[in-house]
Amino acid sequence: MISVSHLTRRFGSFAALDDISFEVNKGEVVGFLGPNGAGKTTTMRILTGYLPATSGAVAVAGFDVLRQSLEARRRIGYLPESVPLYRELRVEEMLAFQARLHSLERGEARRRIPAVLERVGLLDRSRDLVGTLSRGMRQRVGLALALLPEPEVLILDEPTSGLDPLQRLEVRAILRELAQKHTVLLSSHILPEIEAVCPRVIIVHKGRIAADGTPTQLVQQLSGGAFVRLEALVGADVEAAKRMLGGIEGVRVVRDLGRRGVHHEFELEAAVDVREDVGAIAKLKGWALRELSYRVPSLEQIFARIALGEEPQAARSEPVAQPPAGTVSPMPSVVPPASNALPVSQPAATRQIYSLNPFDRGASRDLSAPVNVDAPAKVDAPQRPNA
Amino acid sequence: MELKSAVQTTGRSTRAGLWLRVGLAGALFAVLALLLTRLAERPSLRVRSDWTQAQENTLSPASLEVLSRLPEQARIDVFLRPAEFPLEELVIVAQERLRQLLLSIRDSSGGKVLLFAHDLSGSGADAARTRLFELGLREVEAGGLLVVSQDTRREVLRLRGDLADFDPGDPAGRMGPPVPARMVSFRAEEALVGALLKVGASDAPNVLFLRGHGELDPDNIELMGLSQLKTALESDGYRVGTHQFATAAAIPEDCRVLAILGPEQPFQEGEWAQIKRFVESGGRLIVAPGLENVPEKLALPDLLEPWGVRLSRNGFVARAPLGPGGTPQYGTNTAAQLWLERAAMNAHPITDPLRRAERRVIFNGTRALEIGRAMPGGTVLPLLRSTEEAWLDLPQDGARTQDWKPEAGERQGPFVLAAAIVFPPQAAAGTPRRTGPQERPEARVAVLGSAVSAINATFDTNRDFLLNTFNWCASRDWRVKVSAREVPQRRLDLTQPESVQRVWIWIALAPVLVCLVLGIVIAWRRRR
Amino acid sequence: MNGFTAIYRRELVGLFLGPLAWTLLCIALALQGVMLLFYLVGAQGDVDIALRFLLGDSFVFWVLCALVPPLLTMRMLSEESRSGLLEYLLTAPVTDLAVVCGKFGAALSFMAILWASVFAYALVLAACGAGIDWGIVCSSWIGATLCSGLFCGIGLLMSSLTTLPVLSAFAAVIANLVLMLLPLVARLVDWPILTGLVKWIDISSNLTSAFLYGVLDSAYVVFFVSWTALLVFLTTRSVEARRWS
Repeated sequence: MISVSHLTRRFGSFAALDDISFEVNKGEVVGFLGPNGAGKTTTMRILTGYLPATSGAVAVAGFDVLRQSLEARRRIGYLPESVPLYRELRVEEMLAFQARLHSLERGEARRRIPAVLERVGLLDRSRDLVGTLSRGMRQRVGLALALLPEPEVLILDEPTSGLDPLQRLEVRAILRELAQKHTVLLSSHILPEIEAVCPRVIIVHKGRIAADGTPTQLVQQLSGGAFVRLEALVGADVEAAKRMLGGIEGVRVVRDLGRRGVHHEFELEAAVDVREDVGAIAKLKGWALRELSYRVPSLEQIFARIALGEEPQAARSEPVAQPPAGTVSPMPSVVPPASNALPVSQPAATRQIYSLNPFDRGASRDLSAPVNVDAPAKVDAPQRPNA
Repeated sequence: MELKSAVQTTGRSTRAGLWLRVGLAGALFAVLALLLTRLAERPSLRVRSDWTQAQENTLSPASLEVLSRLPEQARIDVFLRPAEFPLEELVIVAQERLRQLLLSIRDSSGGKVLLFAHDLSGSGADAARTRLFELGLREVEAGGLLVVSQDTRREVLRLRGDLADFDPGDPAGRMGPPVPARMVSFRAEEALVGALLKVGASDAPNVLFLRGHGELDPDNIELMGLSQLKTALESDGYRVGTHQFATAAAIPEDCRVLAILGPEQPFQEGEWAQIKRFVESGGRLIVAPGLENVPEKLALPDLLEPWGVRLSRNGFVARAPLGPGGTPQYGTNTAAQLWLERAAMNAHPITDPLRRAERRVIFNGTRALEIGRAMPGGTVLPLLRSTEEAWLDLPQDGARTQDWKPEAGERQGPFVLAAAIVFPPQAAAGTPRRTGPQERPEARVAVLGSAVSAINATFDTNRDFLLNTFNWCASRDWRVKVSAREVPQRRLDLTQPESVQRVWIWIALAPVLVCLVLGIVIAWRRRR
Repeated sequence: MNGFTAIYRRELVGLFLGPLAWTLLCIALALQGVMLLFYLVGAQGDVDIALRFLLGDSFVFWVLCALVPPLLTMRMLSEESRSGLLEYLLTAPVTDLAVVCGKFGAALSFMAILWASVFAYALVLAACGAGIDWGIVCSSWIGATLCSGLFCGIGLLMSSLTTLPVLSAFAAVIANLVLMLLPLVARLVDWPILTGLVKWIDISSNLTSAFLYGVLDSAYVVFFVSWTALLVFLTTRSVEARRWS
């Protein structure tokens, strides 16, 4: 449905997009994730034909957006980030205008407008002036506008920005419903948004695609594995214990996180879940276990790392593996990440970042350490006696 | 692939380059617009459509013909000035109409007429004065004037007198009841076209009025004179002179039209032969018998007889005027005054424009004509015809007085009152005369039943008929025309206070109120 | 075409939903009405001259022409590009030309409605017993509308060049005044280049030479139409160029 190949877009000397390629198949729902200024909006504007590309080819529903612009635009429902609406019109008038812009027939428009309003839950507000609506309501009107021509492709730029959590949930519900019928490309800089709705995520950063795949795939491939956390009473010879843990098959790195009272804390980075092996060693050595947990790094952590400015692809010299144009790849293409380029494998680097997790209360925290999203209390005060 | 490369080439250009390209496209389009504008001004591509009821902005076909025949660019310098009381406003109206006319002339001329309006009072006064001196003028009289010029030939037309006539009236009522000032006539189109013709034409056709047999005098400005006819002919581009056989035996070679209006004495043998030979060699002649006397021998009837027109030697065509209640009244000499309307006119180039414009012609003291056999290869056509009630009123028993009643011996109408004769030049008359290098030599004679039809007293009524006759005779068929009708004036009577009040309310207040109310209604309905 | 009518309708409706159009209409009508009475009195009741003053031969007409179109068009592109509405329109399946033409058409229609007051005035005058030549009224109205179309084009172009409505209105008013005053200046300074230039773009003489006398002359119609088309074209290119910048 959407095919982007070698898309580059420069504003003067600044490259907003640098050789981006991806495909979205029919019926797919893809989240476009990236920090502000990563090039999400630029990509979407190019897709909708608002901006021309500096180079590269973009086709939507089989039509080149530059050459067959009108054909392509006819098949796109676009919700810009700012949700532009004529304030002086009523909701239904706004929709009627959209119907005329898309050359819908009168009867067709009359049938579809209530249906689409019903869908976004605005049927009872159809006589309201757009200018009097709240932000969330307007967002819904914008969605209704995008949906009205029953486009093959929906492109939604930050559909939940500026909404309160409740409205966000509502919009999310609508999006989930849309995902069943349309090909959707939606952008956000808020990860849970994307994770909640999109089976496939494209992470862009500084004008490049940093990652592309399902969240699980991304986690697996970007983080390079899982973490096992061990808190136990290992006795005096910490080094020996560490060596022993490091000897488990699959474990790449063992980190000593220091003492917590009488217990000692370790973190093991491994390709697979090695809890049973660790348990076996503990049993063998008679360590008193206080905690043995397994944790996969969340997508958010990966995203956050990318947002920090690490460019996983910068180190790579070989071109991006891209499915040949026209063929439908059975799996979302995943950019093979060079895991060693990710900060995950460089524990020494300690970075602070403003948390993007809305449930984090905006705390700053150490990102080189895994974070349990479900236990925010713990994250608040990471203890690093060794550091 | 091709697509991609194209995309890349557009992409490579910088922003400045893009703006340059936009600017270039804009400049190209601007040039196109300029070209289009210029092209649209070409006369062949230009279409004018006059939407006014009276076709105020449409020049008569004859005027357009003159404009299209202008050999070179002519220039009209306009110097307008306000006039003094009581003509102040009338002059403003006349100036407005003059301006309208000048614009029509300029736009219809296909670039052959340049218009320069000079401002005598404002900032351009100095330049205007300079130009005025260049044109050899010192002062501009009240109302203003305009100068039509081409090379060194110039024609000055004054608003008052040449373009329009005003009657100052007596608004103060010093001599009896107050009479408002009025515009008597506005004939700027003819005057301007005449002036253009005069400055543009290198050879003006020569009209000679024969004198010496008691004919009417073209220099006489009294009621029975022909001075107005002379002026009109001159402003229509003719050179007008007189010819007397006493001073010059032969009719000059350059004589285009010979006019014999109202001869009372017989011609002499030699003169007779001269005139005959002049016509039969392809000359042009306009003849009309006088009121007093038609000589028995060597007079007009004898001249016309062989060409196919018989002219009655005595008696006048009369028609009883209708009195109150529609009963005909006999016995007054107004019976000799014939108003000839549409029905009286034949479809001939001379009368056809008048017919179509529903003009009238007045003939006074008219002899009766009879159409005879035309010359071989020629035609004789009646121009004007009286109605059936007319009779030829003969003087009683040799006396000169007439009773103006139809009697037993008197012929009943209809009578032919004017006729046009055409025949090819006769070999016996010598080398044929030509009116123009391309034109076929052809004798043309216009016979009018009465010379009185051309005198100053009735000239304004008969003007178009007479000029058409001369132009037809001179083979200037393109000048055969009818002058513009009076343009209706559309005025609001401001003297009545009620009407002024009504206008105030409906014009100044009502639209604003309607607008306000509509605005408020819409704002109210859209408040939520 | 569909896009054009949709945008045209919305812009026109949008104009009349806001207070600006009504305010302008009220002020202009009040001015025109009062001035018409002055003209009538000044011309001794000559209806033709008064109507001629009303639609082209007077100071007030030119002031309205200089001020009203910029105020109409100032928000059409500049504010919409700020609010993102332009993005919405330009990503809809309509051409840029249709967007610009729709907006231009709306502004032009407003001016046509404003000048159509002359029909109401003529009706009133006819009811009061004055003879009216409807041909002159119609052609004057067409002329005034065509002329103000040119100024709408200028306003729209200025609106496409800036993102501040006030700035665009200001620039358009200045441009209008320059265009109007150029012939006067040329007459004063008598500078050959300027006189030559003025011959190409003398708006007032193009309006007052024929339309006001009841003549539709193709040369003058083409003058207005081609220059207006140029401005609309430039506006389209300028909107298009925005996409690159």
